Amino acid sequence: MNFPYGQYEVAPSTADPDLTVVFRPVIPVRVIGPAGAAAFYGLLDTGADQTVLPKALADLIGVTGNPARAATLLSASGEMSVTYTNVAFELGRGRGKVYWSATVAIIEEAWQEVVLGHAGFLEYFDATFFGVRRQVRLRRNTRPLPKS
Amino acid sequence: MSVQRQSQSPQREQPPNTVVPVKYAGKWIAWNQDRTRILGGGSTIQEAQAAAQAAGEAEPGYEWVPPADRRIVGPSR
Repeated sequence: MNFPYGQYEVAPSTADPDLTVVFRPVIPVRVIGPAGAAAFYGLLDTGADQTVLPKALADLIGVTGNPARAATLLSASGEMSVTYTNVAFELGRGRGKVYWSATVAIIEEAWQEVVLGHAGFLEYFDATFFGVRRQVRLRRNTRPLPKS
Repeated sequence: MSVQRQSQSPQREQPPNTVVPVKYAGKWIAWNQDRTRILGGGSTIQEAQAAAQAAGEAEPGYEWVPPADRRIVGPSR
């Protein structure tokens, strides 16, 4: 499965004053919970140990983090409290579509970004990032997908 | 019976996505199914949902757009 990077108009920074658009490996994934399913765009983050969903998304599909499964995650901006829950993911289209169940962290604080990290997401794929073409390719690896 | 195979070459070019304008930075947006058109956005996911419904999109995709004056080094709040 090949996914073009997302493109985002940005304000100039002192490091790159002429840069007007940045490219990020943000891909579509369908997330399924007890109240329904919705497609979201998440950042493929090879530096993230886990997969993280914002509470706004969790609310939309009817999942809540289990308070008995709480933890602290370390992000670029500091520590954040999370709780864990299970969701189902659907990726791709047509015959190549894959489904699986995953444990994800729900951020209860002011966090909005969907982060597709190793546990629950990247662990099931071999990922190749094509910098010139600004695409990412995900190929299913041999790790079995947990049934959704 | 002939079987037609689609090319699955990893070299195949994908059409680029639509650029997200700076006006949506820091907001939730709703895309159409093919990620070719932004249907609208707002400060909450519900506002993005409303924009998708108003546009009649059956399968929208939702995205939070980071602030335009920040570069991402690991996700941040």
